[in-house]
Order: sequence, then C-alpha cells, then structure tokens
Amino acid sequence: MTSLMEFFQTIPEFAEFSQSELSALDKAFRVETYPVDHVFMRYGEHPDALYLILGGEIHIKRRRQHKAGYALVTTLHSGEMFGLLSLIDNAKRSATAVGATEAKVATLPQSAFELLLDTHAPIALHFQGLVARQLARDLRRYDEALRAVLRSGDVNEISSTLA
Amino acid sequence: MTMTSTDLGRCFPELTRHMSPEQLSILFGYLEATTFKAGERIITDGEPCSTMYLVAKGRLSVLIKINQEALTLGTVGPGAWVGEIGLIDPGPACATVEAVEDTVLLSMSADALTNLVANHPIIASLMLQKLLKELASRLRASDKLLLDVVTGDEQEPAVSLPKRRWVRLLAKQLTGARGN
Repeated sequence: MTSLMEFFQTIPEFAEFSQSELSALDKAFRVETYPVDHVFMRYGEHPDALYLILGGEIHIKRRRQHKAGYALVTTLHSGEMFGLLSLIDNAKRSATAVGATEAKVATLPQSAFELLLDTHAPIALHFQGLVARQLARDLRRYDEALRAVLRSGDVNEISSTLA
Repeated sequence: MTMTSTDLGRCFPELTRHMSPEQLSILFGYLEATTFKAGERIITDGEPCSTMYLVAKGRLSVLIKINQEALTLGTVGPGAWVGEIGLIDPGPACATVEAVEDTVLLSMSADALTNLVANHPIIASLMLQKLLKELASRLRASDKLLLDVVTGDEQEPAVSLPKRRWVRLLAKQLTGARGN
C-alpha cells in the first residue's frame, strides 16, 4: 500500500470510494514535496490540475486592488483540496495558491481527472459529491464571514474571519 | 394539486435536463409533496437543515436577520429550489424561508439523496451536476463581492457599493435567493 492510499483512508471525503477506485486515483495523482513559496496556481490562469494537501500549509491569496502585492484570503491544511472550482466550470483561476511552508501535495492533472471521469463512472459520482460538499462548505464559510460583518458592523471583519 | 413525474420534468426543466421519462418517474419517487399555507415557515435561519425544496406552485420569500431587523433577499417561485446546501452538506440553514402564498413543494431529504445515489447513480449524477454548476456560479459571484473587502486597503476598505446593498447582494448569492 502506498502512502497516498493510506492518506486517502484518513480523509472522510474519500470514505465513499472503494479500494479499486482509490487505487485508480492513486495512479492518477502525482505526489511531490514543494519548498515554501512554491506557486501552485495563479489568479487568471486557465485550470490544469486540482490539488490535495498531504502535509504543510498553503496560502490562498488575491491581488490587492489599491496597493501592491497580495492579500491573504485563507490558509489550507493537510487533507484539504484546492483548484476544484475551475475544473467544474472551466473558468480561469479565481485565486493564487502559494506554499506557506514546505508542503507535500498530490496533483491531479486535468487530463487525468477527465480520463478518470470518462472511464470510472462511480469515481465521477463520488467526485461530484465530494466537490458539491466542498462548494457548499465554502458558501457556508462566506456566510459566516458575512454574519461576522453584520454583528460587528465592520467590513474588515470579513478578512479576519476568512483567514 | 396532484403532481406527476411529467409535471416534475415540466416544472424543473433545468434540474431534470437529460432525464428520460423513466428516470423522471424514479426521481419523482424520491420526492415528497408538501403544502404550506401563506405565512408558514419552511426553513429557519441557523436551525439544522438537510432538505432541499423544489417550488412546484406558489412563492417563497428568503430572508436573513441583521441584528433584530429582517432583510428580505428575494422571492423564489415555480421552477426554483431552496435548501440545496443543506441537502449536500447538512448543517445550519443560511436563511429563513417562508411561504408568501399557498405553496406546493417537492422535498428531497439528505437520506433520500443517499438512497438515490446508491440505487440510481446516473439519475443522482444528472441532478448533482446541475446543483454543482449552480453552487460554483454562486461561489464565484460571492468571491467577486468578497474580493472588494479582502483585497482592499485596510484603513479604507475598497467596498464599491453602499454597505447595505453589498450585504444584500452577497447574501443573495450565498442563499440562492433570486428576484427582488
């Protein structure tokens, strides 16, 4: 059993996948360790992969409107995925993802993702469920951030709630 | 009002797109028709929610509370649905939903969805694909509105809209409320 297979079994999101489905995913993902500050994806780029964090932390950032540099939107940890949204609607990246620490990340190239969906129907359905739950949780997280603004009356509260 | 699976396809063409009459009939078996009188509450903001409601007839209002004041985000009518976030990821509701007029809803619980996925994966996949696209579109629109704040100057937030309008627009995207 590879380390990625073991890791899948610790993540609730993959609980619905069978051993043979996890094995297919294991073959499709590419696992590497990246240095701090490695840029996984950039705002505005066309999507080419989705990512699963196996270790370390990733910063999701946005370009500032009126100042140079980027603003931190949120920090992702081991077991979380990013880059999902663009693979669903094929739109350009809405954020930049950068290694906040050295990070071990499994990358699923878009071509491998599409091949999996075409050749393993049950994987496609499980992925739909997994992505739907992730999007629903993101909408809830934004809702919590909005509530924080409404409670405090301070729009800057959004940044601290999301980060 | 007695609903049939044919009505399901006619009332919800987007949700049931690409489904055969037989698949519509199967999906219909996983839905429960319920009638609500004008003024009755269907979902309460912050309370547990794990059911999606399809509006077959009538109209619902969607609102959130700001301190003690209710802010109506919009209304939804036939062909629309509410509660899909709770269906996919059961948890506290993001808004209160009330019947504005006598309303017929078709509900699907999280348990029913689990059974549909297990017994009829293709039908579940067709329905989930539509819900996914809608959630993705709402998330992107919310992202855009939040971007104003997150990327703004800390001393002077770059909120380009009056705060109340911004709150309303963002909350509409988060809750899925449509209309005015």
